[in-house]
Amino acid sequence: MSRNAGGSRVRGPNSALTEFLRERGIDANAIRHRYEETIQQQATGSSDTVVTISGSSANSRSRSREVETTVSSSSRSRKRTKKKHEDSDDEGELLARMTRPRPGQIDFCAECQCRFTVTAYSKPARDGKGLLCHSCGSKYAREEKQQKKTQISSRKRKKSIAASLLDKQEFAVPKLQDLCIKVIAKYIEDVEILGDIGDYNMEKIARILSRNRSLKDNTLKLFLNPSIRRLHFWDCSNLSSDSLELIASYCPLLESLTLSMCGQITDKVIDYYSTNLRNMHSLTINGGFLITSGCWERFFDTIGSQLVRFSLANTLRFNRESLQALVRNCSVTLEELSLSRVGSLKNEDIRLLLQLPELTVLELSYMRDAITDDEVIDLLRAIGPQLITLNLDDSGDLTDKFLLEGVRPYCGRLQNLSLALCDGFTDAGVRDVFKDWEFNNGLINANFSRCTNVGDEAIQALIDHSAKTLVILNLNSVYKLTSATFQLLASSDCEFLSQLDFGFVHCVGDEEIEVLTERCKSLQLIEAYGNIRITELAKIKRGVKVLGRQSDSL
Amino acid sequence: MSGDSSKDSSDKEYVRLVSSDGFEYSILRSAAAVSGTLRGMLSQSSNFVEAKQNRVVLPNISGVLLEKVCEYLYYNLKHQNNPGNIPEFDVPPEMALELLVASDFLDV
Repeated sequence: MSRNAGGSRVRGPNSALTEFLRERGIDANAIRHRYEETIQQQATGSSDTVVTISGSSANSRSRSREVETTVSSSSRSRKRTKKKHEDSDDEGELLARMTRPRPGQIDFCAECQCRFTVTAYSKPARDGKGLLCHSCGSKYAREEKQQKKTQISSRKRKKSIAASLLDKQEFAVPKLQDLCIKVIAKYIEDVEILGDIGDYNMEKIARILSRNRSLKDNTLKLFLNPSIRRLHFWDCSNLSSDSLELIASYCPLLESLTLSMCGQITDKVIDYYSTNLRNMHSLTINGGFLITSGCWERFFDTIGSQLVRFSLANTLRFNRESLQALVRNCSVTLEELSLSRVGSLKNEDIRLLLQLPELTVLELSYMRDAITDDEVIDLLRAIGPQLITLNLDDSGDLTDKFLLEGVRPYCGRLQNLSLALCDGFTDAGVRDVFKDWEFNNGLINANFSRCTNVGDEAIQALIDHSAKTLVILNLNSVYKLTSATFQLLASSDCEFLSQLDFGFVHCVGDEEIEVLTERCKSLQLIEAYGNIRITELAKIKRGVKVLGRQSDSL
Repeated sequence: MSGDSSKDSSDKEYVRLVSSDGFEYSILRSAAAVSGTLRGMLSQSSNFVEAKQNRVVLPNISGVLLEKVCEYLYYNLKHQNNPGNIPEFDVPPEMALELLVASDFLDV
């Protein structure tokens, strides 16, 4: 019986597992109780069999006893057979041990029939009869070693294929350019000047350095030259504000600048950029949390009138005043605006965006509190008709109303729609948006990942509406989907669909994936993390990469 | 690989690459075809001088670099069909930058 079933609440120390189980209300008594109940139910449900076994009574207590007896008798018989097996095994082993010559004895080799002295290391012959002499034994040992080696290398090969799959790379002989770039990145500390290696290669090296976290003050200078027009650095965490300033003094012609993870960037740097980079029309800053709102106002007042793209992420200091400055200065030129994880904006601030009539790309992601139905509907009424891309990831407060009164009536040109993590939408709501939505010509890129309340009807309506145009479809963790949706996807001739993510959608198995790769001709990449029903036996067409399959990495 | 192989029956099978400082390498046509640039220059359907003479002059690549490039062309040719378990191709750090420019030009 349970120890704490009694009145006392005194408990000793217990493990995390016990604590967890108790929190969930799981205890051994309940489990046993449930088990007994099911046994009883089975007994009452299939009383016929019980009768035949035991010849029966209606009394439930005796019936349960009978079941018990049958169970116990069957288990006893199983035990007996098991024991028999064990006995026979024991006997075989004993026999083998008895017939095997002891070390020191003289025996004849099973293969070459020569006389030899048995040692503890003598190997048995392949067929199990007799022992091998030293020379025959070592010959086999060599073969075994070789076998093991090939086994290991094939395992290694499988692993490296899986690894390159994860990088979404083609598995092929590496290009000489890539080999060189790797070497250059490795010895970057010793490079004095990169020279004229081309923008594309430069960008590649910058990417690798960012990944290795080796973009530092001294390596940064290699990328700066007066004629360069685009610079993208993905990890600036090691760059001091002084060297970030250098960018503007060395590269006055810069048009497009990306600085990610630039935690050390300060007001001074942004002020310097706004006065020195006269050609800049695209700026992406991620993680510049030291830049104050006043600085952003100055920035937009100086350079805002030429900005076409502005993208900001991960800051708390970009507030209503900054956004007002942006709207005031950029209303004529700004076409792409992306604000992600900007926590200082409130929902009434979103209405300011009404005054940006040229916007074609809008991202307001991971700003849970700021995005609500009414504001976004008003916004779409104003700028929806020319919007091509709309990204409102993680806006959990949005409901069907936003879809039906905002997206459906206004977003005729919309091609890319991303609503990941928006769990406020219902199946029927999303269905009603896409059903007979002739106003829109079809989506190219649709992301409904983790919209957990969306189900079959919604996604089937989406497929009906956009089958001819879809290129990328993300249905990660849309749990409620059934295989009917994937059958529809396969049968509706999605001729351009090239990327599909149905990770953690449990209904997808070998059969579904086979049909999909067969019917969707352009399919190149499938992400299938957590789809345990997809096995290595699935026949997947050549040229289609499948990521995250469990059997690939084992 | 290097040097002065005769210009007889092997002419069709082999092509010659000439470096900026006058070194000549004659390599298999199939190896040269690994490089997109060389493939275009040597394609029989084109009317280029290179295709007619089976000889490509590369005035922007030095002899040392071209030797390394040829080594890579054969390395790629050898492992093309079995990219699973291949040895590493060694790029000396001192020539990595120049080699990058050359390989960018040759599209390999």
